[in-house]
Amino acid sequence: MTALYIASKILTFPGAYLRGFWEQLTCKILGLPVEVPGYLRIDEACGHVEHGLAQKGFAAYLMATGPGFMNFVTGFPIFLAGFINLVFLGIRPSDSIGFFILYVLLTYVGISLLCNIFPLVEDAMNLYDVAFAQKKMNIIGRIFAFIPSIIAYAGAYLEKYAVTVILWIVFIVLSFI
Amino acid sequence: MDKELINGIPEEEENAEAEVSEQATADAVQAESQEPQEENEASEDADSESTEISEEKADEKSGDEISEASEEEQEPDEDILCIVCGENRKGEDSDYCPDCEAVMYKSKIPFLAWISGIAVICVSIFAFVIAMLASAPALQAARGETYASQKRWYSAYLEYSQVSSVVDEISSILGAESPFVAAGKGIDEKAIICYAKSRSPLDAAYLAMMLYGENVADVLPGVKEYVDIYDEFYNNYTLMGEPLDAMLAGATADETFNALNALKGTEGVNEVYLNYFLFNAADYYQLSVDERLAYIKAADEIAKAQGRDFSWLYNLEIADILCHEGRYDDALEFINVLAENDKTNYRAYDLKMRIAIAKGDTDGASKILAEFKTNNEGFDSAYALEAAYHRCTGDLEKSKLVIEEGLVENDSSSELHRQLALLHLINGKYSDAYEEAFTADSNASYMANYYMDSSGFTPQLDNTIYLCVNLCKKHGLTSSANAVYLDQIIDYYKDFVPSKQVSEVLDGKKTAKEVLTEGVCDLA
Repeated sequence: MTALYIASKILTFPGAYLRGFWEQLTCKILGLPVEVPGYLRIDEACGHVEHGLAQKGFAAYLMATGPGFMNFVTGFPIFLAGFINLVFLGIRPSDSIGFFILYVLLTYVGISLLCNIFPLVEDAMNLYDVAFAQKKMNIIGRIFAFIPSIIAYAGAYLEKYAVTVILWIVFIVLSFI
Repeated sequence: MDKELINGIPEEEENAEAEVSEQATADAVQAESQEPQEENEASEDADSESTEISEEKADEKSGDEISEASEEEQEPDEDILCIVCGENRKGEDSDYCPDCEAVMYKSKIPFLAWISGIAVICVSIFAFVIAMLASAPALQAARGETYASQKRWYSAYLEYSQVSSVVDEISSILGAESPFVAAGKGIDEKAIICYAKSRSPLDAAYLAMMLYGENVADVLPGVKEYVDIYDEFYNNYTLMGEPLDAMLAGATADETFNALNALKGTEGVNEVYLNYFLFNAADYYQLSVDERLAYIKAADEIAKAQGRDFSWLYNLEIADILCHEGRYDDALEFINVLAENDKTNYRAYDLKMRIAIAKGDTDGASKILAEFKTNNEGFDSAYALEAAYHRCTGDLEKSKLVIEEGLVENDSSSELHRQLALLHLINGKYSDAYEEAFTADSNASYMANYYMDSSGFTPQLDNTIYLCVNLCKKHGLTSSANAVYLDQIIDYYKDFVPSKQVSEVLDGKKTAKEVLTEGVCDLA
């Protein structure tokens, strides 16, 4: 399974690298120690950074969702710009080879970013533990964080088993058929 | 975790910190290893001082203490030592030793990562602008996709055709053509595929060749199938041209059928087309419906054996003939295939609805109308079918209201003007009927010339024009803007063979009202 995970990260390396960057930046902002700031390593933390676990509710929430949110916010417009031109507006190499390559690249980079929006399982579990089990987050915060936490928790497992990448590949294949 | 992996720190600093860490680790290990040593020494002292204790007991005691000491040695490895260096003890509330933690807090974000992060934000903003600019034509195309998935092919074709117009509108708003807002050849390909499914592969191939020339298949690979069908059809037509020309020149039925049948097995002759031309010859010689039907059934069987669908070629024609013969169930067998394959096929739904009315099933007809209206909401064809329904059921006022409502937004519709012409014929207003038929023909020509859409030219339109001009000629035009063209049109139609219904009206056997509100309720 680790091999599949690593393969998925290599396949989406731009997104994996940037995900690692956002994670380290978040750690810096939250004052968490970062163990290994190498983002693309051949192990189960590929595309992430090992860091000290956040001990406060909001910090744990930000650590679990912040980097993914950044990847989503930057990745979605990039994906959209490429995808709608290729699929809906039917840009072909015969229209303009330059623009065709640009849109293919935008689609790829966008998808690679969107394939790396979920946290490591450890971070998702830490969020659950700190915010909901230990209740180190106030009730309003817990209400607002509930759905994103569930999404982050489920997504962490999907990403762990490379399901997100597989789903994206299926989506792209179906879109172009 | 391998300490060497801690990067992002200057090498010298890292080495210095590593030395400090090694020294601290060595001290810790030395301190830990001294504890069991001291305990062993204490045990030896005890042995020498107390000679009452047997050597065995002394050995057991010594052994127990050694094992306890070794357990104490193992435990810190797993729980107490830093997970990074694996040598120093962890700090309070931390997985790391203070030395490693200090190093980790100092770790810097690589320069490349900063560049990548800033670059992706810039690209994202740029992409957002592109996406916004392309969103309007993309939505137009997405509507086309939706209609295509629902087999609403003509609606899909219209949506795809209008993508370029939306792109032009955006360019005019921007004040210049942007290379980032453009409809690609993929849109044209989709439009042509939808056109092929709503009209026929022949019309689609013609449209494609008008847009991209003879080598259209190289530019739009998706339409190659239709170009091949077009080539095959015209090759067959050329091969059968001689007997067909002879037929029109006055050859007997036997001569024509013998000449056509002799072509069976000839290289390049597809027997589907051969049987189709035999059917046309049988139609020309007015052979019985069963004889004509036999050719179509033969063509259908050959098509199925070839694994191809030629329903677009002959289903409507044969269904029309069967309908006029009153063989409604046989007609429905052919027409249902077309209605299933294309939810926007006006002629298929029109015939299906008129068959239901002719059978006395007004509820069934209204359901067919409702289904068509749902799939073609806002289109002229929906208004035209509703108008036809009310006319066929005798509600002429309602029919007129529907047509007028439809013409508000679809004034360029050929069929709506034709339906209005039929209403005027029923009411005996021949001049008005002529004007509406004239407009219907103009609109059909406009669609054919500017949009390559020749679907407006139907046998029904020809028969409507023919009836109108002849009734005007007979009764005289009262007030007509296009009266000057009347003789030209009559001359144009001098070799035209009108339908049975038109002939009956012109011969005075039936009134226009009887023909248009009873039986098949149309002129062809």
